[in-house]
Amino acid sequence: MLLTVKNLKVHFKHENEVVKAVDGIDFALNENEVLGLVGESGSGKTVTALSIMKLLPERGCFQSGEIICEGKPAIVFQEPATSLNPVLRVGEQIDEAVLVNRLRSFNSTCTHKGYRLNGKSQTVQNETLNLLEKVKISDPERIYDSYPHMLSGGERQRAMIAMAIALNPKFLIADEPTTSLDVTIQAGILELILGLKKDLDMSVLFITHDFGIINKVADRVLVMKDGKIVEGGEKREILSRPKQDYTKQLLDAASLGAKTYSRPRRSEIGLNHKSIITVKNLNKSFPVEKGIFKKEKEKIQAVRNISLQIKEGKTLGLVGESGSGKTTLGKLIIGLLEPDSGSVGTQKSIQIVFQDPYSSLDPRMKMQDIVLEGPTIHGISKDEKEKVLRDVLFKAHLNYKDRLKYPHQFSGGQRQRIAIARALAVNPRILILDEPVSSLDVIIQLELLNLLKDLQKELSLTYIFISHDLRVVEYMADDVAVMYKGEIVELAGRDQIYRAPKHPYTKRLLSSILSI
Amino acid sequence: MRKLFQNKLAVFGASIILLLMLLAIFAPQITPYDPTYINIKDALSTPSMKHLLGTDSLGRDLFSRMIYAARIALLIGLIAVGLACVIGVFLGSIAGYFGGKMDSFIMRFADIMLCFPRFFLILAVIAVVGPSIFNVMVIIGLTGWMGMARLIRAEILSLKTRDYISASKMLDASHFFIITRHLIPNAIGPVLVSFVFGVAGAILTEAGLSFLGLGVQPPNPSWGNILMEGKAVLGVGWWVILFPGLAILITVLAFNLLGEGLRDMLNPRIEK
Repeated sequence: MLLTVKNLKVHFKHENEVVKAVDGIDFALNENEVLGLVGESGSGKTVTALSIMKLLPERGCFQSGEIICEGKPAIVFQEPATSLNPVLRVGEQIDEAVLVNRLRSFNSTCTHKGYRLNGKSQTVQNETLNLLEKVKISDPERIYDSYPHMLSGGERQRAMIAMAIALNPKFLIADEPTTSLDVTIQAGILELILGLKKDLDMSVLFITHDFGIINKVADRVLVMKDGKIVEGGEKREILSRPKQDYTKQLLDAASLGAKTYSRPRRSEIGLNHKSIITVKNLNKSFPVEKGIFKKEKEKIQAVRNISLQIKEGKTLGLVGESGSGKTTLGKLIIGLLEPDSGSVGTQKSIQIVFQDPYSSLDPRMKMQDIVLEGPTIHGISKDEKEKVLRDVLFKAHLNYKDRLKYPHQFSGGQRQRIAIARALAVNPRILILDEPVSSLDVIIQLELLNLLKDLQKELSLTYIFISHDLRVVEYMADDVAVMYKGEIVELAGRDQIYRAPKHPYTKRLLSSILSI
Repeated sequence: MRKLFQNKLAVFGASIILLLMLLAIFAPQITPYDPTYINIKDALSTPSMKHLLGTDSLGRDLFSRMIYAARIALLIGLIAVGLACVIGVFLGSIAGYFGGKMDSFIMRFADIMLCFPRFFLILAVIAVVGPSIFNVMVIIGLTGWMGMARLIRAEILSLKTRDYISASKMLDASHFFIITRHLIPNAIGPVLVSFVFGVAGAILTEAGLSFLGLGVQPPNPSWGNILMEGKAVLGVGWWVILFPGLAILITVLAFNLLGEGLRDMLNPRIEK
C-alpha cells in the first residue's frame, strides 16, 4: 500500500454553514496501479487530493480521519498556466524541485535558503534537462530558457509533470491534468503519464470527470458523489456492470455519442431544407501588436476564406480545437464581428448562447429581467412580457417561481437554460450555440442537449453548434464542418465525417476520442 | 452588506455621518441661538450651560454656528462630489465603452485637468468668479471628476468584453441601454467608494477655502471661517478654534472609515 485513506472527512465552515466536501471516505492505492477517481464538480475529488498533499487551508477547514502515505507524493494540477510562476524561467522552476528533492534526501541541517540559487550547479541543470527529456518535450534546452507564457498548454503541463517526477515520488496525483487541453494534446499527455508510471515504477491517483479518460488510463475506479465514494472496483467491472444508479447515470450521460446511431433520426417532414444562411469567402484577421511602441504589426488569420451554407431546420456542427477560429466564425455569422472581406447572407433573426454561463448573465439583474431583456428593448407591453416570460421559462424548463432570483443563485445548467430562454424570448429562427455545454457536468450536459433537441423540433430552429467535443457534436449535428487553423478542412454529413473521414486532420481528431 | 456591518470602524464612521446629517437637517430645531445673532456683551464667554461651546469674539453662540456649519459642509461635500461623480461616470463610461479616438480625447483631457494642482486651480477660479457657497460647490465638482472617470473607464474596459454584453447587442440593445443597464450598475462599486472618500476631501477643501476667506462668506458660519476668526483670539479663547478643528477631524475621519469599509466589502480578496 502506497497510500491508505481511512474515514477521511473534510468539512469547511463558511458563514455558519458547514460544507461537507469530503464525508468519510476510505480507499487505498496499491503499488504500480492507476486509480481513477471520478465524479462531477463539487463531488470532493480535488479536496481529497489536496488533503493528501496537506495543501488545505488551515482556517475554516476541519479534517479528520487518517491518511497514511509512503513517501511524499507529487501532484500535477489542472491549470498549468497558473501552476507555473510567470516571472521565472521554466528551467529554474524545475531546478527548484530538483534541489528540494536533493535537500530532502540529504536531510541534513543545512537550510533551504543556503542551498538555493547560489548552490545551483551544472549538475542540477543537467538533471533538469534530463527530466525534460523524460517527459518527451521537444528541444529541452529551449524550454529550459523559456518563460511559461512562451510554452504551449501541452508543453506547460509536461513541464509540470517534470517538476513532479523530479521529487522521485512513489505516487503521483494527477488532478484533471488534461481538462484544459485540446484533445489531440490530451492523448499525448495521457500516453506520457502511463509511460512514466511504467518507467519509474510509480502509482497514479488520477482525478477526472471524464469516463473516456478513465477507460484509457485507470486500472481501478472510485466514483465519488457529494463527498462520498458511491462505488469502487476494477475498471472493467464498473464500466460494464455498474451497480449504483448514479454510476449508471454518469455512464449513460458520458457515452452519448455511442448511442447516436441507435436513436431514431428525427422526422424531417415539413422542412424543406433550403439554405437559411449563406456564407461567402469570409476572412477575418486580428492584428497582433509587437514591440514597445506597438509599431510592428503581425496578423493572425482567424478565419480564412470560408464559404458554407446552413440548411433550415438542421444543425451544423462546427468542430475544431482551440484557436481554430470556430468562435470567430460564429461571431462573424451573427455580426458581433465585422469580416475583413466576404459576406454573410441571411434574412432571419439569429441569437447566440455562449459557453461560460458565468459571464453570459449580468450578475446584477434578476432572472426575469435577463430573460425579458430582448422584449424590453423592443418595447412591448407589460401583459405581453408576462406572457412571453411564462412561455419561454416553460420552454427552457425553468421554474416561474425563480424569476426574482439573481444569476449566482442558479447552478451552471440552470444558468445556461436562462441564456437559452433569453435568446428564445425574441423568437429567433437560428441559434448559434457556442460550446453551450462545455462547462457543465456530463449528466447536466445530456439534459441540456436533449432540451436543445426538443426545442429544435418544436420550434423548427436552425442550430450552429460550435464545440471542441466530438462526441457532443456527433450527438447533435446533421452536418459537420471541421475547422483547422481558420479553414474548414472537411464539411460533410455527420455519418460520413464520423465513419469515413477524408482529411488527415479529421482522422487525427477522431482517433483522439476516448470512448467508453 | 453584512460584511460592512461586521466592520466596526465602518459602522462607527457611518453612525457619525448619520448623526451629523440629523444635526444638519434639524439645525433650526436644535440650535438654541440664531447663528448670526451678535451679542457683544457675551463675547468670548467660556463653554457653559448657557453657551455649550462658548461664544466667539462677537458673542455669537459657537454651538449654533457649528451646527449650521455642519449643514454647509455636508451640503458642499455631497453636492460637489455628486457633481464630480455624474461628470466622471458619464465621461468615463463613454471613454471606456466606445474606446478609440473618443477614449483618447476624454482621457487626455482628464490628464490635462490632473496636471493642475487642484487647490490652486480652485483658488484661481474662485478669485475670478468670486466666493460663494454655490461657486465652491461647482468648482470642487468640476475639478474632481478625473479620478472617477478613470475608475469607471477601467471597470468598463474589462466588463464590456463579457458575454452578456454581446448577448445584449444581439438583442438589438442601444449603446445607451448597454451602458446604463449593464455596464454602470456593474461598475459602480469602486465609484461609490471613491464618492465617500471624495466627500471627505471636499469637506477639507471647503474648510481650507473658507479659512482663506474664499469659501463661505461671513456672517454665514463654516468650520473653516470659524477657525480663521478663532485664530485672531487664540490667546484668550481656545474653544473657538478647538471645536471646529475637532469637527473637521471627526467628519473627515468618519467618511474615510466608511470609505475603507466599503472598499473592503467590495473587494472579496481582502479576508481578515
